[in-house]
Amino acid sequence: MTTNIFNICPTCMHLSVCVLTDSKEKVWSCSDYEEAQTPPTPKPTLTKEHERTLELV
Amino acid sequence: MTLTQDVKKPAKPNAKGMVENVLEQFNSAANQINLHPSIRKILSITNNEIIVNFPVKMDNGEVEIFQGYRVQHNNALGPYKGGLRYHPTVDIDAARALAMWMTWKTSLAGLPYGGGKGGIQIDPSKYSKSELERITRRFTFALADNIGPEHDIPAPDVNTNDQTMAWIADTYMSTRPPAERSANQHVVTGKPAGSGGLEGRDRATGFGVFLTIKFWAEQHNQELKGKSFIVQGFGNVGYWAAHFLETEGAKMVGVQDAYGSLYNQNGINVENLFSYTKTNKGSLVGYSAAEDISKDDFFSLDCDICIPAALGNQITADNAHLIQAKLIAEGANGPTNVEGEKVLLERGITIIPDILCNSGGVIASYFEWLQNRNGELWNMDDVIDKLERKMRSSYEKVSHYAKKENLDMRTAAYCIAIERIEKAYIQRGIFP
Repeated sequence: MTTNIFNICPTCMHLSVCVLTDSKEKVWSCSDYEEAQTPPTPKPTLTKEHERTLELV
Repeated sequence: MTLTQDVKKPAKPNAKGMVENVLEQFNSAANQINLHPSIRKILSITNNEIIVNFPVKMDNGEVEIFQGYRVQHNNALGPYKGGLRYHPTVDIDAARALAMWMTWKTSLAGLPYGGGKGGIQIDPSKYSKSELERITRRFTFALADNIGPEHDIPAPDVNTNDQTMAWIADTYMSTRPPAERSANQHVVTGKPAGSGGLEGRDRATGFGVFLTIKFWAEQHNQELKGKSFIVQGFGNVGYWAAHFLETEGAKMVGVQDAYGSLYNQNGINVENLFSYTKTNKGSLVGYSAAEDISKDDFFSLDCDICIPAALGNQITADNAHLIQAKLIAEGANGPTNVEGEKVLLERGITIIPDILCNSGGVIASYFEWLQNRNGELWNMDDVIDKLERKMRSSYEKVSHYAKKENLDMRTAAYCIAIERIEKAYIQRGIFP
């Protein structure tokens, strides 16, 4: 399992303005944390890779 | 390999923070009580670490594989207890430390619980609500009997909430035989009030912070009326702590949230400020009845009580000498680091440690678990009353121990927590 430095600041909606801390690289708990709400990336609807077409012979 | 020395530090040599703090605190208390070396070995390592990879169908029909985990540190005193977080950065080392922290917290609070922690490596904002539901349900299914109402009881954490808990409870209960489903409702805590949740859970942590301050004041024959306090963080913990302090006549003179810091020597009305933030996108900035101050000046404000209730590593060697408060009540987890604490204690400032001060939340979780287990529905007054009695008992134990052994409150709290677990192991022995 890949381990990363645990940090919740990058996904917080207050990241760019937050004055609570300058050390925004190792915050694992914060009562003011609110996840930035980015709209889910629209995912393409799956289509069949190969569609059978009838060939008239 | 035999572990009889101090618990080994994490592999990252430069990683200073919560993990190292927890281990230093454990070692300090373990040395203080001369913890049995065998039990030290047991407590220095987690019991179980479960990693699950599970598939979930997305809204567009595609299947994604997710990785979730559950770390179970120790269950000598009862079922594992701890939160589940959904976040893209997952550090198993931090999860181990958090699970360990829960073991101390539940032990200190006198609860019949151990410690655990878990989550899924996921950015919830990238998924729709229905996808999150399926992810949660499949995760619950993947964990299977690794969780259970008498074995491991998850709760909300970062990016999980009462809705998440309701999905987990519903999924888990659905896997039980029909006649047993209702009997498994207490598999998680933090459920919505209408689904077995507890009235008053939202204010329990903040109320607990207030109570420990109240007990400290009583112990020193002081009244809270007229006392000034500052609070960092105006979210769930900070707001409720301030609310209850204000009802006792204390005066909030400073407050800080993610957006800014306010100060008014004559006091800032908590309810008015809270109402203002509701109309100002959750921010206290621009509140007219107080002045804006620099974030760097916040912790040096003139006050009697300082309540860091937001995040960790706030009071350090750099600013501990500037603190004017006579009491620090740690509403957040790890707000005072080891170097900062040393300075504060040398200056004669009392610290009510986090594992005592903010334990109101986990005690309320216990009440919710009991409520479900007993088939009861408690009202707010019952909850508040029981919470006060439980917190008073914990506070008095810590205070008494600290005085008797001439220790600071944090070391005393850890000693009590670890001794309780040590006693359990000594009485029960090790199977076989």
